[in-house]
Amino acid sequence: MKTLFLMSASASLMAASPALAQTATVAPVAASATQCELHVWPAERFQARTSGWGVGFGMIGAMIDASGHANGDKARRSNLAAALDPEGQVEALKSLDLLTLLQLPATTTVVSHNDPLDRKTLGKINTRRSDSMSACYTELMVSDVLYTKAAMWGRSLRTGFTVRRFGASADAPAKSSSTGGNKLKLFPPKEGDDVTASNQELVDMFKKDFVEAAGNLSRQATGG
Amino acid sequence: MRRAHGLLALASLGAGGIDLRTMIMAAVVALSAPCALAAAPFQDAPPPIEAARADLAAHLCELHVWPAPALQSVTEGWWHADPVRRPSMGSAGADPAVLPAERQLAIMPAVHVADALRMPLAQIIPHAQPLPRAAIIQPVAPTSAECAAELILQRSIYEKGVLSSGSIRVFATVRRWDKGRLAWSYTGLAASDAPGFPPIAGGDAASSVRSAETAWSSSVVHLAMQAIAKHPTP
Repeated sequence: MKTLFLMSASASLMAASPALAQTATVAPVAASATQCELHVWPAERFQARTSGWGVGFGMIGAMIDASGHANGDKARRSNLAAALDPEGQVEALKSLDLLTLLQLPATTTVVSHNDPLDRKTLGKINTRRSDSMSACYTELMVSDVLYTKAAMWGRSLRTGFTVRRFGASADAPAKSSSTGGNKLKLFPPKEGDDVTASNQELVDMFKKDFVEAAGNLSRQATGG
Repeated sequence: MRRAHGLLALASLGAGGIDLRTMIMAAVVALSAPCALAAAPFQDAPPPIEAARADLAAHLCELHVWPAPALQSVTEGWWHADPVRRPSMGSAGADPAVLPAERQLAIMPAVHVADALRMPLAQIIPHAQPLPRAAIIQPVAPTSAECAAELILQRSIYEKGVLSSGSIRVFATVRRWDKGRLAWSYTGLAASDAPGFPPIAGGDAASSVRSAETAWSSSVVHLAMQAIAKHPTP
């Protein structure tokens, strides 16, 4: 009954004074929006896995296959680390509309960290990874960057992302993880080739991976 | 005409087996000598020393070199990929930086990268700090010199896999400038084996670092040659 009374009272107030109603609705949004923060961390490790037809011949076949691609994968891993260095990952993510993709308030401040977090601790530490005291705090972490080439499926870049939504709490965030994967056409470059185009392709696919993963991350967050 | 004579003279000296750089320096010294001032009565012609210097300057290029951050390690084990970090040198405490920017510049004169870029007479101009990312993406002529090139080292990586040996890979951009205009640009990677790096526990760290430096130098030259192979004309 009290609730009903308050509702009707506020409704009559809003009708009587539109200016007051506008102030009352805008003010809380502005106050919470200034406090919202999204902290972004890049990945610290890269993997390259090439498998040929040898994997179809059991353990020995797989070993022969792996040793045959060992030098190539070593080079591709370094190429990934060069093209998608921490600064490059953060820059690529910041070029996207992160707030819309992650369904965060439009006035959220994006804070980037160029030093990656220790991958082993990503799933273990449940407290905030920055000193922020924001009452509307979210973290986005790039967990893994993986290049794969399979004889049957071709080349692709798969990237793992984790989002932790803390809200106002200091620990026990709502966690969601997802990966995105997209096919590569130019990467890896041939030995001695100019790598500008293939490195740009890696950056483009990294961004595309995030857009793909963000859909899953948002669905997980909303329970959809 | 004077230019043709100068080149002819240099060519004839070169036939005697004298190093071209020594030859040019000798020419500059000779032209700077007081006896050359005997040509002063010819008021309408430019002073011969200045003219010769201008001629020589036209043949000399600038090669601007930017170092990469210190060596990083990209390795993996049987079941995992290691994080990108400094190579493990087996020392107590934090691993020391291998090939920091100042060390790269210190060993650069012995790398003969100017020869690999077919600019043997170029004056190497080292820059103390790695070039910022934004400046790498947006090329700006480093000088107003008529002929210039840039070697922008972006990353130096020690790489090793479970089934592959260790090597040092460099990731760099080479740019050639012609009168302040970008003539061509090449970005690539090149690697060389680094046996003995990093040191085994209790091993000789100094000799291991020398091995890494040798491999790094070789990779830089290799990359420069790749750039020239893609852009054979200046």
